[in-house]
Amino acid sequence: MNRAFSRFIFLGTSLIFIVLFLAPLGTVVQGGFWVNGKWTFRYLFGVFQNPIYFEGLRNSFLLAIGTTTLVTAISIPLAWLTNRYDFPGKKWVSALILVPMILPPFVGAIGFQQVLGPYGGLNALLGLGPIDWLGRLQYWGVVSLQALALYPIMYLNANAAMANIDPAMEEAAANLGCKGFQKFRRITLPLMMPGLFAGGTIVFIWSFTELGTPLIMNYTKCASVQVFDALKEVGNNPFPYALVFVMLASSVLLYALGKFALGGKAYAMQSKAATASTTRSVRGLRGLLVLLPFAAVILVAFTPHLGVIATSLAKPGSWYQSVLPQHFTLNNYTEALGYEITISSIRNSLLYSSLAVTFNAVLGIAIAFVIVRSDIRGRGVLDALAMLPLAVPGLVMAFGYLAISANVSNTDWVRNSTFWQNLLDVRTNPTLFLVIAYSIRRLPYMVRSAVAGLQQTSVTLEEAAANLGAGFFTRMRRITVPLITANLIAGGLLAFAFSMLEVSDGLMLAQRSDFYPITKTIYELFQLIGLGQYIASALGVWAMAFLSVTIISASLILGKKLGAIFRA
Amino acid sequence: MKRNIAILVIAAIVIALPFLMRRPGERSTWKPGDPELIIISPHNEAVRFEFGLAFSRWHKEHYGQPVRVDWRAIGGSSEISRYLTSSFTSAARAWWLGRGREWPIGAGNALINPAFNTQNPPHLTRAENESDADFAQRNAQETARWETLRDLYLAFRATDDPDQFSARIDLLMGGGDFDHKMARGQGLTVSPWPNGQRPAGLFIDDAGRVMLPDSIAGETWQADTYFGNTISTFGICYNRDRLRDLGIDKLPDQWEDLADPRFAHNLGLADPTKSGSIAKSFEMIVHQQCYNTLREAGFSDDEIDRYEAAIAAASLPAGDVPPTVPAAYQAAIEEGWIKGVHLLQRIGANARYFTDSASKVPIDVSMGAAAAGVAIDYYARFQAQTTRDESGRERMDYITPIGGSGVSCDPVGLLRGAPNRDIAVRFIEFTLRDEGQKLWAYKPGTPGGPVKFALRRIPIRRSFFPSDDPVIQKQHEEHNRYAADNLADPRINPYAIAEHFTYHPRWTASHFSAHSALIRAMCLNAAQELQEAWTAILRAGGPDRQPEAMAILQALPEKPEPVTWRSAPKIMRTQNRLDVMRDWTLFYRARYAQVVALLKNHEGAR
Repeated sequence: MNRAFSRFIFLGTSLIFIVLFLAPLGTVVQGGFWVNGKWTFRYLFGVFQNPIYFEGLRNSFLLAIGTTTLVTAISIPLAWLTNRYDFPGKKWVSALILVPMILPPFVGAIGFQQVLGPYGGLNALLGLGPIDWLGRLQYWGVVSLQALALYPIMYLNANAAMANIDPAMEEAAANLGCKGFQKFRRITLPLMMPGLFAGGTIVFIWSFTELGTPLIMNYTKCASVQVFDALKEVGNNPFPYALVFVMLASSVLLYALGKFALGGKAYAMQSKAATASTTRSVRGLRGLLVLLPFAAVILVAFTPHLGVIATSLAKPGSWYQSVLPQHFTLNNYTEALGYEITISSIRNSLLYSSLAVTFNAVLGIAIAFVIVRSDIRGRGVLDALAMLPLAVPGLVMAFGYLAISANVSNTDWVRNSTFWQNLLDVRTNPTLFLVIAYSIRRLPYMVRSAVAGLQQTSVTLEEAAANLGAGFFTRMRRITVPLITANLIAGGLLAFAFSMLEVSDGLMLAQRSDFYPITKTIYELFQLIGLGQYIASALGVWAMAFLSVTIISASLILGKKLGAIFRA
Repeated sequence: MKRNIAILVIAAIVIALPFLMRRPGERSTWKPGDPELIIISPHNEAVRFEFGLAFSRWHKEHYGQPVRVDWRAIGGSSEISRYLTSSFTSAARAWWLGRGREWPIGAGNALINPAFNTQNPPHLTRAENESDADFAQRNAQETARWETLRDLYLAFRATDDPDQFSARIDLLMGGGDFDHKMARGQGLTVSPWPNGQRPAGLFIDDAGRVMLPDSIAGETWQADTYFGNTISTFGICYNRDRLRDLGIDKLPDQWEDLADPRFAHNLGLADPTKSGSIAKSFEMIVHQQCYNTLREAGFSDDEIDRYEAAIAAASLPAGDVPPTVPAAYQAAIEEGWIKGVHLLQRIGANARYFTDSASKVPIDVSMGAAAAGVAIDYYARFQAQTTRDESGRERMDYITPIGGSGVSCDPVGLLRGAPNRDIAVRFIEFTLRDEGQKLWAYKPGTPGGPVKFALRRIPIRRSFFPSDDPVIQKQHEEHNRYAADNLADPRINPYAIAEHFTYHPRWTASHFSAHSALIRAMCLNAAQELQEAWTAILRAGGPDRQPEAMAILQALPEKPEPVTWRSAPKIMRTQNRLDVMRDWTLFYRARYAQVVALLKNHEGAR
């Protein structure tokens, strides 16, 4: 890559990142350092001096370790089975295995409660008394639930990484006598390390900063809940911003450590994608044995989804001390889908998410190129910074974008122009800020996926094209992007799905009903007292169905078989 | 191929469903050019829909044009408060700089600081080794900065003109009395009517009857910048089946009942640090203990009223009483306050969780995920209705503890620099008149009632409730014909509830933030340790058989000074909250661990 050109991309992406991410973040986080007109590190040091918050950070770290370990333990065997065997139902489980990541917000907790609560379905099914599963489990409960929600991220990346491995490598190893687990440990695992690192870091940082699951499980001694508690507290407390800063710094540090320990060894393969790996066909009992782990994981991970689906079909109040609701109705769907703003919110979410993913793809590839293909100093910093949006609490970013919009929209040139108001004042039209918020917050998926793809693709293929006279854009279009398509689709799907399910930015920035995204409509329905949880569940189920269909349809449109979508 | 077609058909059905099931919205005659009104509110869609529609129709009927109400929903009260202060600060900054004035350091905070001193500049103390000249220079700089801040502060509060600055929002509707008091102190809200020019018949009817009291039983229902238009009470919701499973025969009807050890791990509670309204409910629990202790000490209601009046008239430092008031009176209040804190601790020890969302508690209780909880009345009543089975039995019920809850209001207030001021003032008037009040109480489809949603909130206007005055009684009977709840029910009628409860702000109001801090330290930050200690005490025979352990459990923090009724407000006022929270949390964790160790030793010794 031409040095001047790579420098240009580096500066461009850094600038975009600073303006769209660090600036709004800074306007909020400075509240922890700029107090009463003075700079102070009192609150920052307070985090470390205060055993309560130190304990919170430690517990968050332990949650992240536990979750990442469990996610890895679930995902790698499944990815390996997918790549090695053709078994009955493979096409379906390969698609269904991804669905747990699309649990809609707000109603997900109701799903858990209906199944695992004292008078929930599980106790009724097993004939147990009113055992409070959610109230009893703490650390392990959070780790299990997080792992069951996040394993698709690791599975997607591991699957793509494994599919990208040149089978000749493994065959060569086998010819030399390296077989079985030894072959997996010495050949397969190192070759798929970029993909594992990509998935692992996302899962690690996500679970380090995850808020929803600890709140559902009432596990309050972790940093994310402490930040949330302090942010929601009445009054103006500078402390949460200092804690956010510590969480961000910790995330970068942990990422850098992880990269140093694991991510540094990337083995590119000359002949990646030249041949497809062979899969063994297993049928009968052996086929069922291979299917079993998929079925088990899907069933357990699907528990809250089943809870939400059953709630959406329940007559209000009728799912109580019974395995399933005692009376079913479609009224909740009539109410939810017939709701006046449902269609506009679906349209809005599609618009925001599609624009965000498109922007993400361009920015993500550019950043990945700088990280992998250039030797510019500071690219490591850009690499680590690109992970930061994962670690920022949604509320903090939303406050940041609100502050930026408020400052800009009070200038005369915005106040006096309808065009600029529509573009920059969230009170008039939040589209631009929502697209920015969605894309920046989901950027890590795209960057990590693209980086993993590039690391596994030998640069010599691009150099060969360059020798034959292809310019940069031709090389990108004809060589590089096709070779990393699997990774880009993986990252894009994650970014799209999670943008559709984004909560905090939509709640704060979309203030008028004509701009609500679907998650805010779910929230509005959920707030209706009495029936809200049922109607909101119905819209949540629709959102799940839509995203599931999107994932499956995407593979159809690409003309590839389901499950093989992540092969290059 | 067939499979692909099938999936595409499914995709088409999923996408088409919302279009096929779409219902047309309410037809509106509003057209561009007609008036608009912008309201920020934590109220849910049901309230927004009904008030938006009804006000538009009312406005067309009275002023000839419909109004489009542009609701801004950005979350709960704490998000709205943050949003408004940030919007006003940003707008005021642009306005101030546009006037060629300097925006000094700390201006954002000073602007909305209710306690900003406009009379005197800050008093500086000389730093060690600081020369006279340096100190004088620093003093002069600080005084100059203060003068600019003072000018800004006064100019901000003297300006109510959208052409100067504005948050581009007209009204703040909903949230509690606490939120509106805070907005008033921050200078964000203004009075809709000049002094003495309130609309005729709105607050006092033509015959001189008070229709909207300023306050009742010590609770403020209106001030110059905000006007309560619906009432909230706090109480206990419970699940009958869960109570039976826990072996609890007596249905809870007082706050003390929630301290029953059989509720351990089974109470749903909301976090008082996240909502002024929830904090208020916990204050009521403590307040009731103060009252009960006074009564146990032999003081009658008349004496309480008389002594409080004498104390107020004497204007003495907190805790001091004039010679006409017996010292035992004040001692009883202080003792009651400590009992109240202990009760909060024991209720907290039974908590399954402290949620950030007050509406979660009744939902969980209705599902049996919690046996009982502290809830806002209308959330709980609504939720109870969904648990009704075919025989009409509701498995969940709600009760407002007699004498244990005040009647606080949800106000509406006019924001400074409202871009549609006239329409906003008419909206306030509408919500306070019968036409607006009916929306809270009436069944959907009744004359003047909501169109689609039953709001089931308690109105505030006197004419909706029983009275000895025959005119008001007749109005009440007319309203009650259409009301979703029986407004004559003494558990619903706020004027009746208020008869059993008089709020004395002196007892607990200045302890408001101390209560929240104590609950956070002793029940939330040390939740696990508290539950372990409580479980250990229960296993060892219960509180009555373990007085030593209970004494350790209930001890109050000693740093930065021993916590008492007198010291608590001062600690919150003068100490850094972060340090206080750390010290108190560590104190409680250590105490709870001590209880567990003590009881383990006893067990070992046996």
